[in-house]
Amino acid sequence: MRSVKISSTGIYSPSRTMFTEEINELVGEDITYWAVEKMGLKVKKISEPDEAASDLAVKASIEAINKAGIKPEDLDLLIVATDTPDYFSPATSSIVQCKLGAKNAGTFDVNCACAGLVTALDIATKYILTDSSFKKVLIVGTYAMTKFLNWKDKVTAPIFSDGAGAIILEETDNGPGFLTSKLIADGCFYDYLGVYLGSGAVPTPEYIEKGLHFVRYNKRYPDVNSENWPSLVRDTLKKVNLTSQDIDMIIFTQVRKFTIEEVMEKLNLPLSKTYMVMHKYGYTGSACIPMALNDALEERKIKKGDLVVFCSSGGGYAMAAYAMRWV
Amino acid sequence: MENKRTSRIIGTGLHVPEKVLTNQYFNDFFKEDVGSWLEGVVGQKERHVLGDNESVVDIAVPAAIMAIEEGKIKPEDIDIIIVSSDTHEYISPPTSFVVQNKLGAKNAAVFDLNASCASFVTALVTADKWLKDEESFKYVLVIGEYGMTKYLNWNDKYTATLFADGAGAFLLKAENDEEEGVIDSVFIADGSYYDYIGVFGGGTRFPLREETIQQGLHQLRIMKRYPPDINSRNWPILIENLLQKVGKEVTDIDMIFFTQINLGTIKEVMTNLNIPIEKTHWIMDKYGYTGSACIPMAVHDARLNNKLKKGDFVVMIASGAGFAMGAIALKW
Repeated sequence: MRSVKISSTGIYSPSRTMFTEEINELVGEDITYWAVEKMGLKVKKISEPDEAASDLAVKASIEAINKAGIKPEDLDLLIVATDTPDYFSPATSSIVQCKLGAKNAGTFDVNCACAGLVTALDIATKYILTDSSFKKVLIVGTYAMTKFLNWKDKVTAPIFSDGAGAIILEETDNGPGFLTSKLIADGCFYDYLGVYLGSGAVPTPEYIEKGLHFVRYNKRYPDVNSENWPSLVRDTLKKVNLTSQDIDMIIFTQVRKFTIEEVMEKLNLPLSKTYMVMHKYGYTGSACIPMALNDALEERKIKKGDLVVFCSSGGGYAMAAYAMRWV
Repeated sequence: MENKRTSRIIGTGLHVPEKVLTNQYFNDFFKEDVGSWLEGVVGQKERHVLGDNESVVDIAVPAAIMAIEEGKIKPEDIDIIIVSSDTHEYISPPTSFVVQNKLGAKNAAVFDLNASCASFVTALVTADKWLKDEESFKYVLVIGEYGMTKYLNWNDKYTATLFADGAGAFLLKAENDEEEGVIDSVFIADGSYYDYIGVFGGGTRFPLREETIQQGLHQLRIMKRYPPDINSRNWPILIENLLQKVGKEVTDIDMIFFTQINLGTIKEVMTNLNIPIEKTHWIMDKYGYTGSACIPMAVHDARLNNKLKKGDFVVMIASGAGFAMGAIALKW
């Protein structure tokens, strides 16, 4: 049966590192307990001033392409998942395609906030499954949110880091590979958290002066992840007659360690069945799931036949879950 | 298991802002005759632009409602909303989140797609693939919106005159009937043009600072000139690839829609392919250039003019800066 498999992953985390002590100094408050214990964040990884989202994406993509043993020209489709693009227009995927030399790949960007990567993975899966001319797809999540940071804001400054994670998705005849997926959304939260720049918020010098161009928390979020992730995971697996007890590895958006622990408990799963990387890479939005997957694979936490689930959330909000049998 | 499902367009919608700028307005503003070029070469007579207090969501939502009403469904019935554009409401969250909220489409998954002005056709291809593969889904709403005037330098006569605002929407339904609906699609892309034209400032490459605004980087800029024949050279290739994939000939085409950037290019391609000019439809005369919205707007307008009938073999060809191009073939 024709299905899809993840044949490789690649990541890039900038070398510039900031520790909690420095962040405490910047925001003028000791945020250590909250950042380290609750969020699980021990470092912040920050891209260089001349590095944009596409540069991070290219580095992660090259690693994934090399590990898959393919050439950039072999790619049929290239999807960039980000809500921190290089430009408004053109799409970041055009830049990545050019820099990789993936000249045979169609390109587009997907923005589903931090649920973008799993949504793009789902889209790529649909392309491969319904059109035999798509055999190899590169999906890269890239995040350069520090470019939008107000470094004095104690709520946002400690959280966001930069990084990229890439996945090569290929057709396979040795199924089952991809099993099922589910997307949910509640756009009522669109004005809670965001980078409010665009045709709905045209920047002016006054806008900048007021600091409105930074990534902003306008309203306090309820813990929508802790509330929705368990049912999202159960509902997704129910579609293929599986339960959460069948899961071998589940990787969540790396936004808050405490939430992941809580959700694992609600799902009645041991913590050994999830994998976290926020302590190493900070919070990297649409890049964090492939970054965690990459390291879980390196640590040999996933083996052939395992039921692997990705569960992601994007502010605003949208959530995406994707289940596959590891091939 | 072979997939027999297909997707069919069951509703279309179009919405433009009220404010109109005519060629005469620009003749007066620039104190020179720009209108002759706009009408004679580009094919534009007038265009609609967003008011100061309006944004892309304000035009995307009415276009979507029109498509939903024609499809005789409720917003809650929609399984996915894709908003396709490169002039989004915000960098984050996606425009589709805002649209979902305003439509009350609470059961819909949402995401934004950006392939510059090829966004809509790319999103349409994506919607079709989703409906073909995911059997629990029935309706996908694809919106193309364009608010490029928000990024214009009104003193730049090349960009100020060309770009306009508008929105178009298609409602797609999954069907088990293979006799109609989306047949197939192709893409080509060449990212080596990524630094030619764009809105380069405000993202992660040139983060928004006072200097970014002083340098005008937050506005639409032409940095290098595209080869003038980029569309007239690539569109026939795209059409050929598409027809080959679906096993059809140029003569099978009943109706073909192109990105509405330049009427001269459309006429040239129609002539070179030997397709009668009646088999295309253009809207830039009344709506200007509306980027990722222009194809659904053109299709909607063609329907109002009775130019599309059931069973027609329809092709849509889109070009986006960067560049990315997409083509889709369907049976109406």
